[in-house]
Amino acid sequence: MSQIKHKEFNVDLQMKSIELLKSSITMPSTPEVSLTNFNFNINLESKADATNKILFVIVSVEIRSSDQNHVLGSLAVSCIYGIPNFDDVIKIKEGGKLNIPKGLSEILISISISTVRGIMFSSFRGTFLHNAFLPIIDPQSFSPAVIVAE
Amino acid sequence: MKNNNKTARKYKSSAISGLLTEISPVEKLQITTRMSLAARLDDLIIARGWGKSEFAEKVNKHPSEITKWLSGTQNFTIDILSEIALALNLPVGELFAPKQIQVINKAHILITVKQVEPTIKYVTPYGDFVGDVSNYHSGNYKDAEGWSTSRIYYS
Amino acid sequence: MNYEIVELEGFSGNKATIYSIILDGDEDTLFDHFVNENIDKYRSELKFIASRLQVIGQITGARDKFFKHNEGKPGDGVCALYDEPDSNLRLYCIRYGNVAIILGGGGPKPPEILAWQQDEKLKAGAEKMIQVSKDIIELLQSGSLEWSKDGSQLTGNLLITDNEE
Repeated sequence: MSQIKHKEFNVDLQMKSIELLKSSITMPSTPEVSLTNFNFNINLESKADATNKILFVIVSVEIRSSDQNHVLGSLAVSCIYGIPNFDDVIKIKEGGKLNIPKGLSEILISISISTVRGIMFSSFRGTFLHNAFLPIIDPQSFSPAVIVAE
Repeated sequence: MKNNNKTARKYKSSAISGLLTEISPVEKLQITTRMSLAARLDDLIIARGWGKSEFAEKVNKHPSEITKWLSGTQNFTIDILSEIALALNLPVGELFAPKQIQVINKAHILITVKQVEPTIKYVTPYGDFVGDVSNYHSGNYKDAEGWSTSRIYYS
Repeated sequence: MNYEIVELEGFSGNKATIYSIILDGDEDTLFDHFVNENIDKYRSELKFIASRLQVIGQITGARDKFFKHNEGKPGDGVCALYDEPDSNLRLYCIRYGNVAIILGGGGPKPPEILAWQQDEKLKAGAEKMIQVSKDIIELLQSGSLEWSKDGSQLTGNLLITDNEE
């Protein structure tokens, strides 16, 4: 477990589990599809379980051809973080909305993207996607769209 | 005057201790349940963007009745809970236990990468490799000694 | 009015801090007096109130719907713990969001009155809290009192004297 000191919060953070949800690779059927130019479609979803004090960051990556018509590879990974001092760091606002400090959200997104990068490399190593490294991404690109709990 | 950052002195009241020890476990649970239920109901109404009067209309009650429901003092009957659950479009059970997992962020980005070095070059000819149909089947069976074994059939 | 703000151990929890007031020269809090004055006649109702305060401190926080508001001056936070029409007692407090309350006193609420101004006991209870609320607002503005970083604890000089304000 790591204690992370930030100017806005102190958080105790554990990597509880990494779960591989999906992995696929598909060689295109025609030579016209370029294997040197890719599009990375990245979906990121964060979920929180306040009762068990854990946070899920689920990253799904699709590697598509440059014309977006072919899915060449895909990977979905769930990074599960334990936060023992969950109640101190993550506040529940009126209406059930969870308020996660921006700094913490960025830290978790950054760790998750790096984890997925590593898994992608080991999954696609030795294939035509061997060099399709997940690019460096600014975690701030994933601007939070806060969803009110139902 | 400067703030010395001291918090309040902790005070142990014999009057309070006396009262709390007289409360039976079942009384304590009843009160906790009433208040937790009231809090949950309040959150559910707010999450739908309704005011008290709007919710009162949906359950066909006077707003003062809703004030009482949300105060934490109401002893709800099963019938009232059913009316509330119907108005909120929820199973009755969810009035007691919120969904555990909350989605807090969903985002999508697209990154284009060009001129990746093609170090692994396939020699298998291009073709349509994807298919579910196969002439080979495998199955498990137990032999006389109880061991499971795979056998590959060709049909 | 000189007094000390103290934290009530039996009620306070990690959802809300629950305070009361000890007046200068007194050993008991206003809440203790409220209990002691009414325990003979209204024991069961006091148990209910005590249990609710414990739930507020430890489980739900001081949610606004648990209180009757606008008992004091506009915006001063003075309120009463919600009392049903057929209940006998009214307890005045000051609410600071969901995370802190200061309990005062109160008393039996005669059914014929419409406002606390019409009953001497209730008037005394409400007016004390109005004064405490006014004092705290001034002390927060001057910096003698502050809220802790998480907003749930008052910090500073909690022995309030007439000279201080």
